[in-house]
Amino acid sequence: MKIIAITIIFITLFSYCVWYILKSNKREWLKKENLPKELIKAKLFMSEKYISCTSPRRLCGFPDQVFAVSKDLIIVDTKSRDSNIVYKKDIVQISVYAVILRKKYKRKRVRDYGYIRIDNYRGISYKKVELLSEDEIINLYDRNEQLKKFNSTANKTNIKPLCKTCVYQKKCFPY
Amino acid sequence: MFKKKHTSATELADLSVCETKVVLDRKLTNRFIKKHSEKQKKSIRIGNKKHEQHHKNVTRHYKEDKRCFIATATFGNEHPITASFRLFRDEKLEKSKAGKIFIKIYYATSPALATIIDKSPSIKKISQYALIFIHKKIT
Repeated sequence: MKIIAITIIFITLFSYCVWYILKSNKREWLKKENLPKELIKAKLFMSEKYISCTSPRRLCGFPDQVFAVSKDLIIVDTKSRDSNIVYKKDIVQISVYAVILRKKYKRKRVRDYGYIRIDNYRGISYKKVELLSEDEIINLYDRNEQLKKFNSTANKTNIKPLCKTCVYQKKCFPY
Repeated sequence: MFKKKHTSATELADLSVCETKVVLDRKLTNRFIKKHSEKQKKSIRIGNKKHEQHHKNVTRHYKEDKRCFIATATFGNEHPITASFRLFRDEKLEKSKAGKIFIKIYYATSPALATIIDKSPSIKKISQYALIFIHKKIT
């Protein structure tokens, strides 16, 4: 009886130590991550998983992380860039994920906002962004199809600094 | 028949920046090999590493697996003893307050113990004896 009691006490103490170490690791990570409050208590729904849909259009993507808060889904996408700016490109990307998730998981509700996680030398920050509507994504898809069929002339970017780093800057003008 | 391919989120995102670049990408390079400058290639590599690291951290800190961890690590997922422990959890423990507290503590601590059991055959043997002993007591 004594041996059993000692074993149980030993296992309990050992488990508590392991649990404490794991919890403190998580605390440290959460502190470094600077996570928004709603994501701390959320559950991880998927991470780096391929998703696709055929309706309303044939779309696919690899969302970095999708968190579940009760029946709602929140999309998070990581960017590692020097500036802490969120570009329209980032918003389009997670809006496409939202369209796919809405079609794939009909019982879940995808929130109309998401987070862009920016990881750079300044640390990690989460930027809350409003997602585009499904119609806007459909319009973008249809425009892409039009360009694929060469039915339309492609527009150039309005952001001039981008042209300086573009690999096509010499070929771009006559196009 | 030709099956239409899916359009990726990244492709549509690129389109929102510069349509000409997307068209030239399609026209001048292979579909799967995009043209990037050396600086861009380097930042892509760093980005991929960071993604991988974050994926590992997130899955480690968030994943909640509701299996009977220690029994699964000791006997395997389909073993009758593992199944009877699950039954004991669902039929007896979950019906009382003390049992629910025990389950909470168990799920907080057992994943770490299960990893240790998985790695060491001698600890696995000790765990086997202990679990068989507990199994006899509860059935």
